[in-house]
Amino acid sequence: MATQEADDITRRYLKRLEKELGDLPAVSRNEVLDEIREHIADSRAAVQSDADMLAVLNRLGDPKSIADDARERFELKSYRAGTIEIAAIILLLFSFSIVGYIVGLVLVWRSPAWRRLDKLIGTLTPVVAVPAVWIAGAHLFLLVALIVAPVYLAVRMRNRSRAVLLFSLVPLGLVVVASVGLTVITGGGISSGNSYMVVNGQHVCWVGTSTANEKEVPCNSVPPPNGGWNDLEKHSFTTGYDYAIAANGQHRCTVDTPKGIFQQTSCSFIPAPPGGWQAVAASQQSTNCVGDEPHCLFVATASPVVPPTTYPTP
Amino acid sequence: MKTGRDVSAADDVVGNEAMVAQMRKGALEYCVMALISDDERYGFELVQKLRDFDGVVTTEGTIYPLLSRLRKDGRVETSWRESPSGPPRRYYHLTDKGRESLERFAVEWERFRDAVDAVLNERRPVNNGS
Repeated sequence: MATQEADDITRRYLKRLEKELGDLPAVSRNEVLDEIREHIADSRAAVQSDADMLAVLNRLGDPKSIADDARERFELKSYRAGTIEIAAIILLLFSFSIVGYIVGLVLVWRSPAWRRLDKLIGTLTPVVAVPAVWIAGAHLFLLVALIVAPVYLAVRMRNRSRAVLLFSLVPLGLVVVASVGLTVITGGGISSGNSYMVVNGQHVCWVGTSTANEKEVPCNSVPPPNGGWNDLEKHSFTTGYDYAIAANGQHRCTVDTPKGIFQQTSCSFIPAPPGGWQAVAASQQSTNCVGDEPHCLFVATASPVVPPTTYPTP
Repeated sequence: MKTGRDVSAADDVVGNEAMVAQMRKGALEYCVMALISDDERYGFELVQKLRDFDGVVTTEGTIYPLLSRLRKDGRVETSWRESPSGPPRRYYHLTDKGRESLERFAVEWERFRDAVDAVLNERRPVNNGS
């Protein structure tokens, strides 16, 4: 009688075979697996020992050679993932444009290196995340989905060499390291003395008596204006490049989203601070935030803007 | 068999083996078809039967993708039959298309085999040298 060990070996054998037969048409693959399972079951009746069981598997042949033979029978070229797949994943990760992303997806769908199910998962993950952003404002979810999908595809790529995996994922690693590094250098944390702080991951505070002398400071060093800070959260992601200026009569504070990520927004999206917007010189006004300059310049509060008595040192 | 051969001779043997494997592979599908031309058989039964013919199959597992391919081509059909033990079995039998393909092969094979034999017999007796 064959033992537990023989069972384990058989199970591993079938598992390997299933994996090796991966690129056969599903119907044929299941048929072959069924038949080989049956072959093993039939042989088992006559098997006396573990050694006999091993001999049965031995006669069946190495899963790889069965699969190679099967591919030849079905006239399938054995496919090795390469440049196209690396290009697809890099496009998905770094194109930063819808066109680039779609080109990446087309490459993925045309490549035999992925099973259809994996292609679907890779494609739908970000798509599912989009409504989540609209409904719940879960911006982070979309960002994570946009990174997770290509990483998933890179890992699920079939017949890839280690080099291909490396080439697909190394750029991602570099970007992560670079962005972490940048965050540290530019003082993304509260403790940074670099007078720069990202509030709720998106906003930056600027403080000054006028736009001429305003400086970036940690937002928690600025006393909140009347009625508290404006909540930019709702708009900052979709409209981007937002400036809202609130004031408490002593100083003005500009809340900013990181530059360069989003292109254009209308200032009307920005919720008015308590007391309403204050007019600024026509030369300083702009209704749209386009590019780097000019920004939307509005000052909240009716009271005159005067220099603060205690001014936070950047 | 391998004793006394030098490296280049061993390489030749490898080349030979690959060629024999290809020939075996080409002929195998017709051997399989021949074995189910009169009686229908299930997969394991077929493999066991093939064992009677030395040198036809080396890797038994390859028979199953072959059967699947033949079925896809319409040269073989399957039907499910109850088995005395365990779940029902797939029985394979030859279709008309398969029979036709097998007959054509049999004719070609005979001619080819006779021709190759005749050519090989043209050789002078092998001189083993030193």
